[in-house]
Amino acid sequence: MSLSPSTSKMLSLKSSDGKVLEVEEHVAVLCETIKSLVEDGCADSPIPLANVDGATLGNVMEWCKKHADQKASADDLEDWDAEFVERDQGELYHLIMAANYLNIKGLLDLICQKVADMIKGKHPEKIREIFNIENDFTPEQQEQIRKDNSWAFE
Amino acid sequence: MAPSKRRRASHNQKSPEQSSATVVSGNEDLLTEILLRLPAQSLLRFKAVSKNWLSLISDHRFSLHWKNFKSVSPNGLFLRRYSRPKNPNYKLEYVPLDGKQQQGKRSRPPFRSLSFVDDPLGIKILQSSHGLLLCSSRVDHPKRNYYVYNPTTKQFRTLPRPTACSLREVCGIYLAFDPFQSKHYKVVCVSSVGSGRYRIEIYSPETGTWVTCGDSFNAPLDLSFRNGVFWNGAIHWPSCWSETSLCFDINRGSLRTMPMPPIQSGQSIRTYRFFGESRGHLHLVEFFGYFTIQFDVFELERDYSKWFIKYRVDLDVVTTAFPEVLRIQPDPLLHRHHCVFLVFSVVRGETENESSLVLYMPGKVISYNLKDKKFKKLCNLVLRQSDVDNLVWHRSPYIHQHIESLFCV
Repeated sequence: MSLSPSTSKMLSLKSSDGKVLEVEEHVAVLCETIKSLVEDGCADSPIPLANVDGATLGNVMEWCKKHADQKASADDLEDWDAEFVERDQGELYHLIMAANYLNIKGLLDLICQKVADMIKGKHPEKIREIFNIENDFTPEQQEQIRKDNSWAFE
Repeated sequence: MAPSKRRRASHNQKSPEQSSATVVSGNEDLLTEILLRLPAQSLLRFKAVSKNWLSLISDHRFSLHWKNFKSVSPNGLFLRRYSRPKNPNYKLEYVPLDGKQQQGKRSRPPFRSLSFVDDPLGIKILQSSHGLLLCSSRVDHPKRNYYVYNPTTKQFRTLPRPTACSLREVCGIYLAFDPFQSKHYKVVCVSSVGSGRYRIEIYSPETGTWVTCGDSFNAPLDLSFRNGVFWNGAIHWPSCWSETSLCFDINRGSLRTMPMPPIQSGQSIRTYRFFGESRGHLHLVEFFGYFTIQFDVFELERDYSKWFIKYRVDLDVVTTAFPEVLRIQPDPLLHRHHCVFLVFSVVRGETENESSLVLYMPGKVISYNLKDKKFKKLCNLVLRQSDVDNLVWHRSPYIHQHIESLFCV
């Protein structure tokens, strides 16, 4: 099956909230999950994507479209990616889950790096707040970890 | 990753941001993907977030996949210059290899001296492996201490003294660490028991003790214990004039012979200029005469059957660019010529195209690509003649790889 842009047909993708998106096949197959459906001939129309909402799917396909563009240079993509990740945290976490579900390694790498850069250097208290995590250490255990890694808390 | 309980505070009113963050952090694979991209300092801090985060970050498999751990490509080389043992101002030189340095700007060394513990005799690096350093007090002294130190996590362990320390002479001490095989390193110590016989002791962090391994053994006179190299689960010692040499298989606790490359015709003694491991390959560089710019890099077959010529090197292109390399500096007193360049390291790349030699030329260190023969300057470095003389004969105790890693001491 040819996946070249000139002969690429359209696929329709249906998000969890029922929105249908028409996407060129050579763009959509950047998602490994969709690629294997297409290759196995199981690509129903529309393809139901139960774990991705419409807004996130739109963002994901925007990224795929840019990265499917043969004319884009590596530098160009890097600049574009840097701008793409400039969005609020909620959207980023949705994108991570979508990239994981749709199995898009490049996008997953990009967003994980962005989140890592955002939480880098923060204090454990702040991390618990961001991720809604309960502190399950005793004060003594907590103190011991801080003592063992004291330079990292300076 | 180790399974662990996860409890969450229940908030009735969660913002959409917070709930999606919660889902991501609740997915162990996704959380790991994010954590793998954090610098060491943040990871050590985040050990205090929760028991689950502590167990994820402390896992040996996490350390193996950590993005800053380039597994086998060193970030740089540390060079200890020849200096009086009690000189308090001695500093390590650093040669960056990771290409992060900007044009004309020297990248900052991770550290210039070691002070992780207050050792009245000072501290020096003896060996490095996958980010762990085997260090000791700088002065040869029965009370000298040995340490294993991870400069990335700044954690260290003081080893008990080997029994050889007080009674016998330590001939060589080696850090044997292959994180892809085991999360535990071993330290191997060879000491002389007199009459040309030697004994091996092994330290393991699991037991925290030294154990003498087998009986004492005879070693050929030309064996260089000082330049031993850990590779393929064994410590390898090069010999100076024999056609074979010895290695010590750590897991089996036994010695066996290994071949040495043939000595060039007309020579009686082998002058190896580099003996070391890179990316699972054991290399040896020998060349003769002080003005040779053509030489071979040998590699030992993994089954120990023979050494083969892995690379033929001709530095003609380098000497054209840097004619000072060929400068003749006769030494009237010793009737010999000074060596004008040194092989600091053989660094195998992820692909053949990335393998390189790290060479010292007067005033600078260059990286010479073994495939396309192109070279680039890594940094400026001016060594005294005493350093050069020292490094010609004893490279291994003075040049050490720097690798960022999270492995436990």
